Amino acid sequence: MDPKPFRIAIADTEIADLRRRLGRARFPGEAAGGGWQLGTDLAYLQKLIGHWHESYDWRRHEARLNRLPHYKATIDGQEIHFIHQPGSGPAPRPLLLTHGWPSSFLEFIDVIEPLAHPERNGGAAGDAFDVVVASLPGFGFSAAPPKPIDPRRIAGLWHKLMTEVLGYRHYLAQAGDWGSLVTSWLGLDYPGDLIGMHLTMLPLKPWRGKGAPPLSAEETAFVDGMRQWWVEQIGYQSIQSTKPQTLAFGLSDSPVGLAGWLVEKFRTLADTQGNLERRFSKDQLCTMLSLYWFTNCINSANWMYWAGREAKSANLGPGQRVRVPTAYADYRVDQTPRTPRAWGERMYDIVRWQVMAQGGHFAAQEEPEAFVADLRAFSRQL
Amino acid sequence: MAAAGVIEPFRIQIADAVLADLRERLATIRWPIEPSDAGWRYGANLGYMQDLAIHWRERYDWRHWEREINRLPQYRAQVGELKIHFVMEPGSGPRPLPLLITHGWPGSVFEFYGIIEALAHPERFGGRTEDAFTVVAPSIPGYGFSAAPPAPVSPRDVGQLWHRLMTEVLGLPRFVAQAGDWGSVISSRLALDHPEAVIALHLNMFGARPYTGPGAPQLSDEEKRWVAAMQQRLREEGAYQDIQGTKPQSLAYGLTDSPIGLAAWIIEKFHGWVGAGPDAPPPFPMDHLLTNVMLYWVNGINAANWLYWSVRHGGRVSLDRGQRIEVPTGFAFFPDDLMLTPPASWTERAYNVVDRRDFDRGGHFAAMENGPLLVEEMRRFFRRYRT
Repeated sequence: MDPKPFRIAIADTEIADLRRRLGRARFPGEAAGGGWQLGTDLAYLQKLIGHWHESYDWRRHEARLNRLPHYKATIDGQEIHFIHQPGSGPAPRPLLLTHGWPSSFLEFIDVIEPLAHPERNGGAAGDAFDVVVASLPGFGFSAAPPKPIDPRRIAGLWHKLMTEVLGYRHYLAQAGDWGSLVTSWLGLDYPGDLIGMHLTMLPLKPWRGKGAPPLSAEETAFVDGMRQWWVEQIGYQSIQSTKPQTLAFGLSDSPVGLAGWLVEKFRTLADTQGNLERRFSKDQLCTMLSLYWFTNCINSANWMYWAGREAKSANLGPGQRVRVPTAYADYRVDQTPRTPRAWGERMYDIVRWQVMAQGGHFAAQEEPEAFVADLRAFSRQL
Repeated sequence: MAAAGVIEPFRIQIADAVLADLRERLATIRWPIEPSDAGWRYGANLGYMQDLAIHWRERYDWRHWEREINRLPQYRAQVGELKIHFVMEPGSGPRPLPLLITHGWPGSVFEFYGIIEALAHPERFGGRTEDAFTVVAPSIPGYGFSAAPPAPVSPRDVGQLWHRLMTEVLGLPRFVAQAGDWGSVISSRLALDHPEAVIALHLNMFGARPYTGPGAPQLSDEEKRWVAAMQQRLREEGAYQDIQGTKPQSLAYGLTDSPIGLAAWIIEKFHGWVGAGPDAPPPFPMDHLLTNVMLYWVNGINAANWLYWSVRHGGRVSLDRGQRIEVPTGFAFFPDDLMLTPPASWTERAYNVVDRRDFDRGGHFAAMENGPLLVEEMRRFFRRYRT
């Protein structure tokens, strides 16, 4: 279980193979007028593929990523990649950050330093965290499990990572997307060990059956608004949760296919206002894509949807509720309605509720300063 | 708009460079992993796809299959804004019955490769000349060698094109139609809009959803059970519709750049819609599966997927209140199809049902799975509409 230091070192042959594939890209046509209405815009993707092929320098980004302290540890037979950055001062609080799909540890690389060493970043050493950023099983440099495993089981691995591998007794956890469901299960299964959780998504579904208080008008509008939004967005979840293997052949064989599948998500889910590069530079996008490509992890990453569906892992039973103090930072995603606090309180012990004016689904990457400030304020509050 | 009526003979002739590029891609496939308990439970099976790739690269001979398809007389004609590809085989005898047969997704006119000759020339297959059809098998816009429409078109639009193709281009004012899958939806719309042209319909999939809104007779318990079972079925098997119906372009990149990505997307359906079960391969020769895939590879799959987008964005499949297809309709239902065999009352809400056979085996691709049976069924059903 001892963590072993890890360095990213993609083989030259892998880089050459990627370049060869990008150089022979075979593009589909598109509906008249183009744009993003039917998915990833052809003209944009061609530009991005051109950049990935001709301008993007993986080695430069790899060197930058290797300045972070990476480790791998094997927990219950599952190899987990994580970054562990001890914080300043005498008593930094342990903090576990978990990404989602189609994200990775890259989402957090710009907040690790300010969270660990606030005094070097205009803050007080008293706010320091021991920062742990873990890659979900099957994502990036964490090995793929033999078959899909659900968020609750991952929470079990996370708890062992924090307590047994790293030796922390109590810790905080922060997450969005699938990470928020894993973290919610940490809260449900290990309430005594988790000091608090900070979420940018509230993934649990409250018990709505017998004995549940009826939804308020505001909650009903929220639920209806979300359902309406999902009508046009559901496709990737449907396929990834039912036939992930069928999809995987094209995404594993074609970097263009991978990019076409993922880029639209960053545009839709981040606060891009229709302009992807308002939030992500081409280099940033290419690093994210390269991580998925070089680790050939898209299939096992998509398994989250299979396992989550099979386990119905977001559904709470009657009386079930997370009892750990919870902060919610409401970053707006696309045209979705704002979450009513009463809805959040059905599932969580909400102690902090911040409506964020800027930033979307990838908050730490989009608005690192506001993200860090809110997280510190929550930690102080506890 | 170009005038309808110019019919150009057509032969498939794929450039060597396209085949060389394909070989290169097949030689450098990068594979995904698969779950330890996979089979076909998570989609297309890895081991099968790896065997298929070897077959494709080392044994499959496209030129052979190109010649085979080219034995069928093919044409292209300008119909409305689009150049439409079709096979047309004039039938034997003095009075062959004009027959329009329409494929679906993820099929192609190749679905009918094994039955066209038998339909047109029954006497060569132990049948009677009086059962001959003049067979017209067009490729849906965006499929095979029909031009892709500039933007998604609806099944109804395609039905209108088919009407022009048959009546204006080919001079066949009255004809019968047979179809499954999208072909069934298209043919049903065609029958609804042009009952004067369609003598009779024979469908091996249910194509027009009946009106069930306010004022419609209440659903029977049997119908409710069927609707619920279909919803469940589509939750498990309908994800391709969800993605093709919302973000087809995001999907298209991998299916256009990777031949194995394309093959998996298509061939999984030739496994799942014929009741093969999670541990058996698709019950078709790899050569047949690959020839169908090749038609998508050389022409692109993106525009073919647009039908799903169109019906979620204004292109109707449901009938309006008071609408019913009055053209005499016969059904052949196969138990392993994606679509579960509907109750008789459900079909009668939407169609003037005059004939129905529920087969005890077989699935979605009737013409490929059991061609002789489908041919016999078509001869039997349409016999009464010959004059």
